[in-house]
Amino acid sequence: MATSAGESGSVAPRLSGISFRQQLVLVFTIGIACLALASSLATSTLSNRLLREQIIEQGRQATQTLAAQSTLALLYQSSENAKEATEAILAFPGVRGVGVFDLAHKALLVKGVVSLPPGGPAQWPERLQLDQETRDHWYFVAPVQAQGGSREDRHSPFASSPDATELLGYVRGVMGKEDIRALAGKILGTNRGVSIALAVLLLLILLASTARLTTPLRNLADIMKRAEAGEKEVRAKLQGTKDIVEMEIAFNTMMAVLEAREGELEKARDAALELARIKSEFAANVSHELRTPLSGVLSILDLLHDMGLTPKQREYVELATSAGGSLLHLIGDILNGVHLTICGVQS
Amino acid sequence: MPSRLCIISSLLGLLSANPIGAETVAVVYPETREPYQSIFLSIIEGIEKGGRFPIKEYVLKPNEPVENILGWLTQEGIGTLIALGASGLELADKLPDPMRPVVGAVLIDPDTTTRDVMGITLAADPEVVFERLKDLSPATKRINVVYNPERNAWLIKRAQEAAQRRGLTLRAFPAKNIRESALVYREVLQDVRAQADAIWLLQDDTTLDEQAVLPFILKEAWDGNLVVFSSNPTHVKRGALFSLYPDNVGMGRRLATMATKGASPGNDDIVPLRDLSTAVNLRTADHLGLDLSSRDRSQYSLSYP
Repeated sequence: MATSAGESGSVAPRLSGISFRQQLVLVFTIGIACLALASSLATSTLSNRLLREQIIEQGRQATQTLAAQSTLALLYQSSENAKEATEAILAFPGVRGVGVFDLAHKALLVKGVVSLPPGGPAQWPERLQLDQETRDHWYFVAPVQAQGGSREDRHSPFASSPDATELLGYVRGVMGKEDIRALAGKILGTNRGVSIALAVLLLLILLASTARLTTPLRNLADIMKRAEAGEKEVRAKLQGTKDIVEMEIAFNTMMAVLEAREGELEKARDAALELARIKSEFAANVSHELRTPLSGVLSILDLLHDMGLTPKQREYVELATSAGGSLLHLIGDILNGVHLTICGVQS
Repeated sequence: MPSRLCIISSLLGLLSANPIGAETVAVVYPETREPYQSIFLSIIEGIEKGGRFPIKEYVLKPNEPVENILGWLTQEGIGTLIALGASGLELADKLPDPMRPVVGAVLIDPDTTTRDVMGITLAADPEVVFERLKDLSPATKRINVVYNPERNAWLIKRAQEAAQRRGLTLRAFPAKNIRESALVYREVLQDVRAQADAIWLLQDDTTLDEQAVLPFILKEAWDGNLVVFSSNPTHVKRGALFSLYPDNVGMGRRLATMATKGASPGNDDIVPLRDLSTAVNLRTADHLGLDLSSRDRSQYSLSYP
């Protein structure tokens, strides 16, 4: 689990660097490629199996036909009769060799590929069978039997004696595998071609569908970026799937709420600025209205100080001048403070 | 066992009444499929027409114990039995002495049948066959036949007599199996005379391979202008001149007569079939120079093509 978690953790950052559409395209491409490969392999395997069964059945039928046609040849030990039968069977597709053998397993006629299987002793069974399979061939063998009466007569309720069947010999048939290999190659090639073509078609359809799905998302992302950049009155156009439309509605609602709040804040700011301006005007007016008479008082006190006053009077005048200067300074500080406050609000 | 003895003793009393008057006769035949079922029903129809007695049918199931039939016969109070088909012959073999059923619709070799039965074998009576041959091909002088002496020696003996009576020569070649018969047929076909010779194919699957040897015979016969005749209508379809096959209703009538009167005095207990229908191949006849087309078609039950 730790390993898989680690792997997923390592894959996730790699994928996070690409867009949603690119991720979808990547996943689809890999999936469809795997699907095409698997389906072509599965189809080829199944086709090969069916083909193999079909060719084995053809081999059985060819051998059975040869057995039926070799009866006279074995009855009369006539290789000339056997020749006709074997030539006809050799014309069957895939048949590479045939042989007719008597009861002592001595060949009456052999044509084409040697029909006795390589290796161990050949089998001489009582019924048709696939004797051996090698890399290049299938070897079939069937008994040749003379049968009295017609097929219907053998099951007739009028015959009192048992079925008369006489074993006359055997026939062998060899089916080659070249044809199945060539066919298997063709099938695999065709399957691959068809699978790839279908995969490309499917991929194009999926890309078109993905584009249809992701375009509204991309548009929404662009709108959000514009909103982030400070653009006003930005709204998403309602398009795409239901989920995306809900996201767009939510975004539009959120933007509407944000803009409403921003408007309220602007109103509050404007009110504050107006108040500051009024305060500033008031301070300026008060400053002017206070300083002017106070400056007059101080000027008169300066004049009075220079008019030869008694020490006591001079002392009182100086006290009054000092108090007036302090008051003027205090008024200046207050006005400066008010002015600074207004400037801070305005900025 | 006691119950079986009781049944047998009851039956002995009933069967000893043979020949019968208007007693009920049992017809036993095997359970089978079409077209065989219809054949048995035709034979039973013939029995009904030929015998003036009521009949009761019993369908034999495969491997049915003989006790079942014995019990049924006792229960129904039936003393006379007509057994049809190979199963009927097997049943007849198992019946206790001295029950003597009438057997039909089966190939029987009277020389090898151990059981004392009477009846009609499906083998065509040479008398009728040769009569038909003379009628259809008057130029034929010699008949060649390959037979299995273990099965058909009795028939060949009758055939020799029948041929002699009609001025025909019968050359009978014994062969014990298909291999031997194939060699014999080849030799025979090398020593035949056009028009004068005929090949008689017996109903014996131990001397005729129908897949390989029959086509060979028919081809050689066609090339050598030989008459080929048999007891199998399919041979006619494949090129034989004519075939005599069982007239089932007629066979039923004769079985009914046997059941009523027993075997005819002086005759064998097992007789070949005399009630026969004819199938002819008109194309083969034309090839042989026989003008059968102008004859009354009602003479033939089947004609090809």
